[in-house]
Amino acid sequence: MDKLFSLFNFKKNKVLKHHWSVSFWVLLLCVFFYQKALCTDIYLDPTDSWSLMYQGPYNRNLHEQLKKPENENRLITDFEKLAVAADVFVGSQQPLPKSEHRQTRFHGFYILDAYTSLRLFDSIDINLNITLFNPSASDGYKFSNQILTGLNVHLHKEILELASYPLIFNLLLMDLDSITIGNGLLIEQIPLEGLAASIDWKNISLTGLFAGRVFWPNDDFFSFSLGLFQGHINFLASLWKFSEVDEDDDWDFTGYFIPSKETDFNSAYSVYVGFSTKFNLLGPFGFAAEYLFKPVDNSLARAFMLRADYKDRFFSKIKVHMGYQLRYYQHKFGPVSQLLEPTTSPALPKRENMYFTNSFEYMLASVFFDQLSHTFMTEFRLDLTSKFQIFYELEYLIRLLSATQNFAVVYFDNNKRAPGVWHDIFYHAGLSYRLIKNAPHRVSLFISNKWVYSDSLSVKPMPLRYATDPLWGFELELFL
Amino acid sequence: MKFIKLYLVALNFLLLTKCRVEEYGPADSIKVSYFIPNPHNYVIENQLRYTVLWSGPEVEYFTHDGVVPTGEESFSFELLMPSEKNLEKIYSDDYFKFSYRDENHRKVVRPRIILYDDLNGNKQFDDSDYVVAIDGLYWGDNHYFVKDFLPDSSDKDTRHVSALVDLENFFKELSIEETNKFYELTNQKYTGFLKGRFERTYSEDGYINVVYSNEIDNSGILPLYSGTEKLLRTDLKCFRKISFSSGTYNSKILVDNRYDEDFFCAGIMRSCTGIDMTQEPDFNEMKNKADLFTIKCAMASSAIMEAHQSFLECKDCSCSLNTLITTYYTHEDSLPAWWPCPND
Repeated sequence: MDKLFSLFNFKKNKVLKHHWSVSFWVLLLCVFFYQKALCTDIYLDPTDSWSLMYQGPYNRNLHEQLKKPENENRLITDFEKLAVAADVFVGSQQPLPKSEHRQTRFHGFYILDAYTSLRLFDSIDINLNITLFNPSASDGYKFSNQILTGLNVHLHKEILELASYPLIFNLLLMDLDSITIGNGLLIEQIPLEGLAASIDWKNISLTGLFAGRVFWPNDDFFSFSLGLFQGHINFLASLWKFSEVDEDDDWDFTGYFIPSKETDFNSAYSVYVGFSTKFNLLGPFGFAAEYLFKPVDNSLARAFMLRADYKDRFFSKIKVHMGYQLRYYQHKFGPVSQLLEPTTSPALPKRENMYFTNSFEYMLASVFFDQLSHTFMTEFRLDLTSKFQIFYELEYLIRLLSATQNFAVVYFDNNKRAPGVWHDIFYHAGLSYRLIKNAPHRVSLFISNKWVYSDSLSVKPMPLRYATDPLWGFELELFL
Repeated sequence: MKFIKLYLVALNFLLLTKCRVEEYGPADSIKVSYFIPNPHNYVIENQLRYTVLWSGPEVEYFTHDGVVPTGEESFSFELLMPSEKNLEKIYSDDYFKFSYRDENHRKVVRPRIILYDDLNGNKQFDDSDYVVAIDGLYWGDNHYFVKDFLPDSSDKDTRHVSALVDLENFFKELSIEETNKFYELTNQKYTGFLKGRFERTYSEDGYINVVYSNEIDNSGILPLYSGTEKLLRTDLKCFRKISFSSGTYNSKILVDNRYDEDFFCAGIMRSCTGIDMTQEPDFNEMKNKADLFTIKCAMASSAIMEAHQSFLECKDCSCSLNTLITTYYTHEDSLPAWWPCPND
């Protein structure tokens, strides 16, 4: 028991002095009021079920996704063996009048995000996602057309029956699409390629996942989880591995620095162990928590997150989500021991439908700093008429970065200094018009300061996820 | 009302955490150790001491005066960052070649370590003391002319300590990659003292090239270089910006008067005179007059010898090396007793 408590012993850390007791009571209350676990038909479902932001189809279980109420108005219906869905976006992201800000890479774009799934023998899905797009109408006629493809094979089969319950085997490879490990303390809604496999029996699930590249060019990621009560509680173990790179090979083909042998990571392996839990509470309330620790330098680096959400609908015209996230990342929790920037891709506008608060944003500063953050998020939808809707999304992120033993100072992007307290407010608000009554197709005009940050090639991994200039946007969205 | 309640709960939670950010200042000292060099043509007369000079065109002050232990190979002391008030006056040393976007932000100081013979015994460094060694000379591209003065040294700027006196602005300018490199050089310490070169330049296309030196002395003991006092003093005075030129060469011939002097010197345009070779020339006097004195034996004959007297002339941080070569001729069959060149 002492050992267990030692894992939670934050007393030495002044930032966290009171978190343990608060976390404990919150957890206890949640368990007491537990209603039901969150169930899903999507394998490794990365959906943020509390957010009102549009989270498009994922490249797996398309048949099941198309049966969900939010997809019932898609024009292409689900065939028995073949499921097809496509999102079409046309839009622009431009500076406000008289502002000195620059337009984004997606300043005149079209995107066709198409999904097909061929189901064979009721147990094999061949899933293909093709994203065809052009981010810029300024580069020359069809000059910047790009196409991203992701294909996976998904085996999902009942292999035997144990004690009157089926034992179900899942295998997914190679395009994993968006992946969240646990509740996102380590990896949250990050597109990955690799392999995932699991065995489900009754309310128990055992899952293994391998990703070939997460945030660094030479990393590999392995994750194992034991889920109980339909994923209500997950015990997690992950291994983040880095391979050595030849001295002469300092730069990968994407143009980002790879540490050489001299500047290698102190630990070629990082092991993470912990648990996550997620459930509904008292109707519209939801709660999630995750705790992980990583052995490092004969000690433990810890991280945890608590999340509370409220989502409701009023008078059939108003939808609201209000959420709060507390995250703590102790220094050295991240897998790298030097200031090597993590990168991610692809940079597509669909990322704008995610919160800025994401594990990605904590990885770099984790080398030197203890990080504590509070995020308050609200999303609001008001149907003015059957066709006009006002919407806004607001995310207020407070990050506290505390110096540790090396007394380090680092200036991050946008001249943000650590140690320090960072305040960020991200907004996305505007008016949308439904093209067809009771159908999701719409055209929107909005202002925002959360835009996907992209190189000329969107597939290039970038160290920034968002450009944060205040701009206006226009978008036509069709959901086929 | 539900929203408000939720937010109140969340805000309370925020307050409960008693958020506080820990922050620490940079390490303001570093332990430095230096090898004690063999003084160059110099015998300690009084007491060997060390001091640290922080200098600029408008200010010059010393810190850390202490005695160098005798019989030891090295000595150590804690090098402290001067007060901000003093640092503001110090000129940013060109040694670091640190190219900022804003030149006003160049605040890199090279503390000069001086080993001196405290001739007047007042236990502080002044003009009447003798400079025995300093922490290296910067000779840039002119090293050819100076190498004879400092035969045991080379341009090892990376093995010396620099003080970054405005760390905050320094860090503001660094990219993440550069910041990472900085901490690598300092063994992940937030300190204004840096051992090693950290250089930024801008290429023609506007991109930043970051140049790092791998020559970091991890042994912890740094070298000091001895040389002629005139050169060392000039280097200190000129903030390590001395330009060198080759200077002049003059020569004369001294011939053993057992030869027929007129016959021997006939046709020689240079000064040529006969002397009594049985008496040893006053080499000590020649040596004391010159900044550098060397004797060279001719390979062709043991009866021919050259004495090189080099004189350093410095004016406004421009130095030249003027050399007088005296060639001695004697009889190969009967070398004088003092003759330094062996007859083989």
